[in-house]
Amino acid sequence: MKKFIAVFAIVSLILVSPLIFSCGSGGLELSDLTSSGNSDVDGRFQDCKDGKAKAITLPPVIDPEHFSFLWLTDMHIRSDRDDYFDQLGNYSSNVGASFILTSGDLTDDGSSENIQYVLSQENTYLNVPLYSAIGNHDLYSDGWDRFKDNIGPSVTSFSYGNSFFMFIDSASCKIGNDQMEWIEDQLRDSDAPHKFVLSHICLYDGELETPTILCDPDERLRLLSLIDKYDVDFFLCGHKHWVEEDEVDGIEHIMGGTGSPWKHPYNSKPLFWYFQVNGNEVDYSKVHFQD
Amino acid sequence: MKRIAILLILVLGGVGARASGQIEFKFKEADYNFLYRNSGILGNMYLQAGEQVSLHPKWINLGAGVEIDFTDSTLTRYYFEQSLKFTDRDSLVLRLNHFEHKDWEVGENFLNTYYQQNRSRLRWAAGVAWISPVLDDWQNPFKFDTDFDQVRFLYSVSYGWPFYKDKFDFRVGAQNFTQYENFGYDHLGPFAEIGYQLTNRSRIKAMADLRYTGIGTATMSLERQTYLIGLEWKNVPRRPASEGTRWLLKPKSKEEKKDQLKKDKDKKDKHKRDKENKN
Repeated sequence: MKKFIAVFAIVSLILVSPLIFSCGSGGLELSDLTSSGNSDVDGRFQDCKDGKAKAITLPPVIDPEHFSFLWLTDMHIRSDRDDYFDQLGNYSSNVGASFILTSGDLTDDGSSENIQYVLSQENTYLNVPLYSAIGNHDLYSDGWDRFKDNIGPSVTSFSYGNSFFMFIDSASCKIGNDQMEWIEDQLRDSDAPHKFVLSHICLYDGELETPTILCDPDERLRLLSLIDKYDVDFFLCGHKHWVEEDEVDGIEHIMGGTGSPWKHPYNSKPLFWYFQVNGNEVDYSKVHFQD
Repeated sequence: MKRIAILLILVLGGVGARASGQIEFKFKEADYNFLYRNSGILGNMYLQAGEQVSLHPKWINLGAGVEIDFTDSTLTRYYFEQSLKFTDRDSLVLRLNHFEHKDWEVGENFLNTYYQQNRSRLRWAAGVAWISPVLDDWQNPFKFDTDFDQVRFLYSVSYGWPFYKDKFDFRVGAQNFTQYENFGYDHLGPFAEIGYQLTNRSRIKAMADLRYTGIGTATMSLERQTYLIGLEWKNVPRRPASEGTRWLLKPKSKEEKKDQLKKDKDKKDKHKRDKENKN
């Protein structure tokens, strides 16, 4: 009898402890505790592969060797808060940027109201397209369906001019086997001189590790080895609300801070990054939003 | 390096076994495990073998272990460690771990330093790890690339209790590292272990270790499962079967040890006398 009680106690502890730790997160269901950890990200990857997400339409390439774009992350758009769409629109017009990229957490909660607000702000202020990776906040309120229908795929890649851009889905803090194979295939097949990978979660977050980097150490190492092997130039990420630049083996890992007037980076002011591709060179600079 | 690690284990085992009768040099323990581990991108069967020898009971306790993926032999983990054993229960461990994946051409080294205390039922450990992925020269266990290195806090806490005539024991807990691995914080790693004391010196065990990720993103899910069966051997003094075989959960106090020695001596003397009387 004691044996059965002990077995019962252990099984209960294993199942209950994650529930206790995740109190308030709003993201955990009982099925998450027993099912494979990749089911969500695999499902989203499959949707993207099957063409179920809104297609990306690229602007025409005027000069493949010379173009520019803006990049930012963690905008956390809410219809009841301020945002920086007007400043982004003005800057992109002034410098003639081809598009604006974000590394996820485009909205604060993935709700229909906030997604619609993003679309209306884009129409009002931006004269270039905005493409976004998916962040964990975009998944809240069962946000995936709204994201794929209105914003675009969570996993995609495209070439523009002499550069290759890849958006990967790390919003659940993992990549999964299917997406990892796709990443390798895409990187292998591209011979572009410049390669940019956009991910919400980073592979490195400074000298003291915090719980904000890609969760699985195996996936982290695999991804590191892939971007090293296939000569990726920039790994652009966010999530931590921190600004940091690290160069490892010629790869620039940039943690982009935030682009939100009400969620500032902890070590900086809200900002975006201005990238200029000039032939074999890529220059970039930080631009702080004006308060 | 894998060969060096295996060689070192064999040497430690051989020398230790040969010298196990001496006070200065003691073959202290061995641990052999067979495990199945399934994670997001890796799912394979592994064998682990670890051993520990002592040159000085307090200051020099050396260990080494190796984990081999015998499904496709692309992944190897091994470690070397040194423990300072302040008391039977308290120790400071310094461990150098190495991970390498042949197909990915990437390695990772981490230096774990932690304090651990094994009380009668509660066990805990806390410390820090210095971690460095290695992209070039990835088979080198001593290379720490300072471009990308990180410090990570380590924790382990578990509670165990004996049952059924003290032959079995249960242990449940949570941790973000093991002898062979070092996970991030975003892993909640509950584990449960059941053990059976085969003899005074040996114990078989079965363990389930689950890892949940995505706590920081509030997208939590089961990321990794490890199921393990293993055999532990400890070089503890032999005791009469009537006094039980359990050695894991209840370290003896000094007085108890003295009593035990006295009892053993009396028993030996009695046995000797009986033998002489018989003759």
